[in-house]
Amino acid sequence: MQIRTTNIFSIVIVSVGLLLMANACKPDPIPIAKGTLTLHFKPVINGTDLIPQSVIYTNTAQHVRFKIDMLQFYICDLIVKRADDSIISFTGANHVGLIKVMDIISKDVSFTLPEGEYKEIGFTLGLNSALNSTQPGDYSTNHPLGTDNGNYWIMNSSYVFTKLEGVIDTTSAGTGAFTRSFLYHLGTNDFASSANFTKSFTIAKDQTNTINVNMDVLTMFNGAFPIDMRSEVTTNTTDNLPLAQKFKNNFIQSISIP
Amino acid sequence: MRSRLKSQLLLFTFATLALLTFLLEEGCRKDPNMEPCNAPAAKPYTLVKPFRFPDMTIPADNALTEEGVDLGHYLFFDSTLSFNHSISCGSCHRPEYGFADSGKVFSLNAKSLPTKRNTPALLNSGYQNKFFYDGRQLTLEDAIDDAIVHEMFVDWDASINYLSASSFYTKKFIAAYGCDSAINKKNIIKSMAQFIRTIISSGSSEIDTKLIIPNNPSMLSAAEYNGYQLFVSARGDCFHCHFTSPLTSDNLFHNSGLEDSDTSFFGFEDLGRGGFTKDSIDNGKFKTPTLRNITMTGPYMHDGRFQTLKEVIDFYSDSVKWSPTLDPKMIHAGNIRLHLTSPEKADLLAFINTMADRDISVNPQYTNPFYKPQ
Repeated sequence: MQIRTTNIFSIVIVSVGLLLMANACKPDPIPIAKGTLTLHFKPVINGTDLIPQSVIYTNTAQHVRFKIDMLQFYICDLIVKRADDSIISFTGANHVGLIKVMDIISKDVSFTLPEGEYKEIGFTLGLNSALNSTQPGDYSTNHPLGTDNGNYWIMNSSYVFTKLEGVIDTTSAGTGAFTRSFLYHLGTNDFASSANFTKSFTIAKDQTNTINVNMDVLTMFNGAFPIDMRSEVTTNTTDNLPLAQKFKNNFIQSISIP
Repeated sequence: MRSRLKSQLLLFTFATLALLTFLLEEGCRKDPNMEPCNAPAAKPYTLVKPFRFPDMTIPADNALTEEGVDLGHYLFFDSTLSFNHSISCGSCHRPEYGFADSGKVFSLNAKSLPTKRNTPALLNSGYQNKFFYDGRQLTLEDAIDDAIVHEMFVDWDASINYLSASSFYTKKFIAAYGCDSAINKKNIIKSMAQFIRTIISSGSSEIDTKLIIPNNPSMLSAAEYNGYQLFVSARGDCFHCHFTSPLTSDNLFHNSGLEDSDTSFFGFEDLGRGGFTKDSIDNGKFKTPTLRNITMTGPYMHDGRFQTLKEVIDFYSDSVKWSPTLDPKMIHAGNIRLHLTSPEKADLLAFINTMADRDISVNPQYTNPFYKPQ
């Protein structure tokens, strides 16, 4: 009887020991090394960075002097394709970026990615329909979609995805005051659009790779769907759909990743 | 000899320990005349917000409590914080006038001098991220400090001594901040900020019950509906600044054409936002006010130049002036004036009247607590 008890005790001890050894030999999960991708939006006019409100520019194609008061837009649904064709996407309100070039300038949006080689970048200009079905009251006041940014139309139940505003001098001599304005505001689901770019880049562990996203502001007026800065001056989307459509098309065309 | 020394040493040690014990007990014994402090923890305050209002962003170190709000309510209406005990915050931010002043172009500060600008309404201040017409303060706590210093000329030491000598306030500070609480500037301001954060719309105004909650403009009267259509269209063009959320303010700064500035960036009588940022492109810009309860908060604009809302609508219709920083949104197809008809103006006013929230002026949660029945 005593021998039997000792044997059982020995078996338990050995089993526990083996179990501990087996666990000790199990390799720790290897943490995925990550880095940061920053998209730096870079609005330019005639090759130089846009400076809002104070610098006078000339649209030589239309013989119009102008100033930009505000350029502002949302991006969401970032998608990147890795070298092995696998795709990583960022959806939801936590990954919405609001690019502002006005009195406050905020031109960067950052995402955390696994280290490695990548070959494509895509994102939505504006908001997808799920995000656009929310309202500023659904977020904290300082969220990009919150009340602090004043980017919602209660009457259209839509965010304002894109805003371009400014003033122009329409005198033939180009020496007058800036007494006329333009205002292109895009919103509602049909006015979000996708932008996709072939771009090879590397994400290294704990490093930030900043990629410039160029925006040629003159193309917003002089693109494939020219907008007459003197006469086509206002759209809040629903009140001037043709002009909103032209601006939407030109806005996509203005964006490139070198 | 050795044994005797040992005995003396033991005796000395014992005597020392006994003395120390006695002194410690005496030191810890409480004054029999003082009541023991065993204040329970302050209870969290639950903000009730109207439909479609956001969650308020509240500083982590100043969470709202029932007791903190109650203390702030009293301090808000207590003239102790002005250097000569002449005015309180509530003297100029009066509930019956939508927490603005009573029809005054400029309020009088504690030295009986007019304030620089018209008193802004405090309704829904907790949702703002910049304070005053020029946005010079970034937190409500700093805004309160600014006003107490520059309009009430507080003598902090004197005010704190006065409050500390009051058993009424001592109890309220202990209730809000615990037995170890200090009656100091920081806790005074925190309490007032807590109270002001509770001053939010009730959700009972017609714009809520007829429009925002049902999302059905047809519930408005004919005049209100016509006014709404003007408000949200380029014809009236109010929506860019006043209809981006139920707060009815975009929380941004605009030059809406009050002055022509003599075509100069510097010709404004009041530089507004630019006076703070020192950037000339901000000259002539002022923060968009909320339209909620606007019927109660006249006179209007940063300088109180318009006595009535009718005058404000007349201005936007017929008198907007051009200046280099005029907001592009104020220029409509080349015109800076809307030229509304008289019926259109009346309809617009009818719609703006739907934003009145009478609950604010009578709710004892907001009115002067020193006058409420005990």
